[in-house]
Amino acid sequence: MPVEFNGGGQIPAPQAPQMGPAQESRLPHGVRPPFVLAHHPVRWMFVDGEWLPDLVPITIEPGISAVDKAGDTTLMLVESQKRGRIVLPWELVPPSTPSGKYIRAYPCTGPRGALYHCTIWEEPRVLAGRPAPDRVDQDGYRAWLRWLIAERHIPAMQEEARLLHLGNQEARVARATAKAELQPTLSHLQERQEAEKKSLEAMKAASEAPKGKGREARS
Amino acid sequence: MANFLYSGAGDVRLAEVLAAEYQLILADRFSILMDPLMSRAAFYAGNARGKGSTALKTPLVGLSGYNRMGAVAENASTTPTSVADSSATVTIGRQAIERGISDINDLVDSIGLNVEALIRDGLMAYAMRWMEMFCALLPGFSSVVGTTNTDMSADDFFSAQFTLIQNVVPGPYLCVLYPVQATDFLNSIRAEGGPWKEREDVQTILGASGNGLIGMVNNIPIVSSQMVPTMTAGADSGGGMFGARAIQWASGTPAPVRGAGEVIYQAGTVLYTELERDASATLTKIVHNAHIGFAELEDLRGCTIRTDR
Repeated sequence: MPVEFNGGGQIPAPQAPQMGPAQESRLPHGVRPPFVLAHHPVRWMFVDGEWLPDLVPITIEPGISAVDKAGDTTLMLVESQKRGRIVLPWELVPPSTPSGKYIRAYPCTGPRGALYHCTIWEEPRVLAGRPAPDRVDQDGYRAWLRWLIAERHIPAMQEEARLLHLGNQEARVARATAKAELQPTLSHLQERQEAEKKSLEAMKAASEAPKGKGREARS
Repeated sequence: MANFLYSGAGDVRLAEVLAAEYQLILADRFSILMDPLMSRAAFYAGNARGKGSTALKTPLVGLSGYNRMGAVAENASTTPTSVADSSATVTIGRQAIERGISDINDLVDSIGLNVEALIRDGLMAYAMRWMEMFCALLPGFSSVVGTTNTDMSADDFFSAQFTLIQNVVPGPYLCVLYPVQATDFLNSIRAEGGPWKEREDVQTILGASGNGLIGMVNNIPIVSSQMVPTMTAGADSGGGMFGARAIQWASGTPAPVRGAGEVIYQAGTVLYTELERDASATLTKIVHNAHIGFAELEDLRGCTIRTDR
């Protein structure tokens, strides 16, 4: 028999919570300012058997990296060149790129007009009203890096840079070997040693020419 | 006689009331600006006030042992050695945040969320903006350690430290990591073998919590901050380890504001707060302003730690 309260009625059945009015479509992420990407001759990364440029993100905001009070980037470009960097304009993408730029922006929470900038290979995601890790199109980004090299927007990796990175990897192999020999019973140290060795061998074997999907590497 | 129940007391009871005070929403509120680590973090290039430009150029010269003497024969003449020089420029830019509150909202306040609170808010807003601008430079060093899409490890920490030592960067160093980088590093310590893992500082950092300064390893303070930006099209975080004078910053002390309403200068900072009144709309506008700028000073003094985001 249902319990009666002073109202004389029964306990109301649970109801689904009423949702508020539809919110404006803005990312819950904080403001992320625009940026350009730049190449430095020393910065390369070894990924899946090939050397790819490890680009530097330079924030374009007044007061950062010599961007002036009005957002003018002239001095930033000069300082970048002094450091040996090659700044890549936003429009430096293959002609087939839909947006024609490698950067895009989404409205986000913050002052009116607040924008969250990211590359075209990043897709901001939201989970339960909070920022979630971006979905990243790794293959697309790496294809663009290969395109930059193939089209000679970025010079090919210099031998000095390759030797520098090989030296660093050899040091990692030496450290991993020392740890593995110190604790031979720890299998994960042995595995790490093998992984570092394989990486070193792959680095040595990799050619400087870019490997493209559906694109022949230039000799 | 009917009992006076809560459910029937709608005219004399409220559906809900506010607690005595508000609680801050969870956010990263650590800034090196407010910490003694400030002395290691960034070189202060100067104040643009009265300098005639918003761009300050820091000269870098090769003296004090940069060139060494050479052996010269008894009666031979020496030739001059040129002084190596370069420079790095930092520009200041306006940073600001505005708040506004109506009179009626201010007068009904019961939890301390009023004009005074909005004025106090400016100091931390400035400090966090300082931290954000500082961290924006961490991915930019030409020396990079770590592997893209791979969790940070103790090896990466050592690689960064060794890079700085090999570049003869004077200590002490400072390490700033994204929280995921920091936890990956802690996790990596668990899998380490050998005597290093038994060091007191290495064991102590495993008890880290929160953000900001989470511990010291190898005498290097480690700061965990959400202000560390992404790299590699968002796949990685660009933290860094660096010695003093890797990064420089400059500021601009405001001139006395003429013709303004109330202006508050935050002691010890270049932050100033103006209150503007819109009487017809009963709005009090609080605008915080600061003029600061950051740039890389000497590239070899820093090392980017690029690992999985």
